[in-house]
Amino acid sequence: MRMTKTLQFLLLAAGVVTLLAVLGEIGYSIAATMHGSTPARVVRVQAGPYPLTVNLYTYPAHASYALPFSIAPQQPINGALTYNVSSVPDPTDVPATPVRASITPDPNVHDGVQGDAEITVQGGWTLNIVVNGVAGRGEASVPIVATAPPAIPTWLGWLIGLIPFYGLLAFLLRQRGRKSKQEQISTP
Amino acid sequence: MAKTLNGMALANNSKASTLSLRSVWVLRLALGLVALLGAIVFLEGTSWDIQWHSLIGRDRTLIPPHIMMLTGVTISGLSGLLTILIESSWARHSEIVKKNSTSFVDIFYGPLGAYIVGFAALVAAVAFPLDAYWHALYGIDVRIWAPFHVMFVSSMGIVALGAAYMLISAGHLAKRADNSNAGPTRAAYAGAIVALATILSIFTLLLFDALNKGNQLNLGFVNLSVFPLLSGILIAFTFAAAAYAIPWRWAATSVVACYCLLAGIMALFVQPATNWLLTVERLSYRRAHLPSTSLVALQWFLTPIIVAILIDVMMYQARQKHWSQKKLTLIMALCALISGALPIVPGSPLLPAVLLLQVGVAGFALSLLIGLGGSLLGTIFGRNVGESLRTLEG
Repeated sequence: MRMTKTLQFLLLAAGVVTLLAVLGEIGYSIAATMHGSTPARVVRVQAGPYPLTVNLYTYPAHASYALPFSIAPQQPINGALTYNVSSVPDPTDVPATPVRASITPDPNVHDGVQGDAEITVQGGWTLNIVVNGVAGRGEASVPIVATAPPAIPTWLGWLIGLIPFYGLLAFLLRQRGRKSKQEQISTP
Repeated sequence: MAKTLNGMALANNSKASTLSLRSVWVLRLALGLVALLGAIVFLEGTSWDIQWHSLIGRDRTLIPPHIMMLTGVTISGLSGLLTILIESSWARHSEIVKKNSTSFVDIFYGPLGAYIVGFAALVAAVAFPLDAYWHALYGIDVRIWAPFHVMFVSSMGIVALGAAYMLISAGHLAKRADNSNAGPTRAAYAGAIVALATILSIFTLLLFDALNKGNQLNLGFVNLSVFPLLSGILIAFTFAAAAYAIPWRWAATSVVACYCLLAGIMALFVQPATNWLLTVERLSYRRAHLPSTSLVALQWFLTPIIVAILIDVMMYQARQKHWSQKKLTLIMALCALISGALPIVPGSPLLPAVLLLQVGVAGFALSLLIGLGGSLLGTIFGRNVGESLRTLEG
């Protein structure tokens, strides 16, 4: 049972391509959290006494990636505002759980925040914004549509998903071959 | 004689070796243990993840259990990669390294186990984003038997197998370097036992769904459970590999003791960690009644304890009474089949009766017969791996 040089090179090439794909995916995931200079969608909402502008930097949102957003009051507010933002799935459409968004103060906008909301599953979601300030508490919802890349058929998913077992089986069979070879060598 | 993946022996010239055998086994032992640590971190992280998904729900992609699993993958992958890079660099100047390593495309040199660890960790790294994609399409409540869960978990099981290869290779080299000091060899064998227990534990995670009624095969006239088949392959493989690879009388029993220890760690840390994180992340539980411990630990199969002891006793008897290999293989397979027939778990002691009622007597008997085939296959593969481990580099 010999592994030919060609097969070794093929394995090496597959390994390098896979490694690059993993690094590319990591890079894309990080890039997805970055706020662009121009929002893809701007929504004006009224959260109780506070009129707010919500900027979504990716639209439609990409399911399983972060959705960068920023929130700013439309007019100067007395006192400080605190925000609580979460992405909430439409229970009739999306089998998912709500996810709390990570937010940080926006250094360029007084009383504004920027953050990333994670949308885990494709379908209809809302960005729920709860804001608290001297004028009381306000709440607003921004509808979001999340899309995913085209679905691969289930059988193809399984064909890929079982790759470790193909490798394991090939390895186990190779051990059998190695043993037979050793037996041949030890037989005078 | 040098070993290469394409079966060609390297020429042994008289060039002075600049590195001692000691450097090689120390490297393999150290990084083999690191690769094993990565697999264990992954296992414990997966147990936490199952708890998180069951009690809280899947929310962010990078929740702490996922981070723990990815940390395990990264630790393992880097240890495999480092081993290959360091040994490849050493092999340029040292014949001793070349002679005791496996070459790959005539550029890389290293222990066979490090290649296994590296490739398997890479596949696991690919499986994670693919799993996120699958969840994005089909929602959060997919079962353990989903394509990329299986890919992710099984890859890390293979990482543990690679770690066992690295450690045993280190043990052989340590023995050759200094036969009077048995300490390093003993440490390497102990590490290999933990690695085999980790293989058993990681693949056990994939066995849970085999007991689901929805995963039974309906042949029209009878229902079949796939549990005896899959359990038979896994249990027989692991214990046969241990019994043949480790020159200790209670090798399989030591493996099952570590398997229980790994479950013990889950039982201790998973629920407190979930409670703590729930508070930190300001989340809430989906169900009112909470388990006192890890859900995975409550489903941990106990029958392998009996099987391992039986296999060690049978191996001893076989050596004493010079049994034929066929007889020993059949007896080991029958021992392994017990775990497929009696899936006893701490959280549900009557599970074997439930399985019998689900598939009926005829279905159960047929499932066991197929399970015996799986146990035989597992025994043969385990024996081959055990024997190849015994004759590994060094």
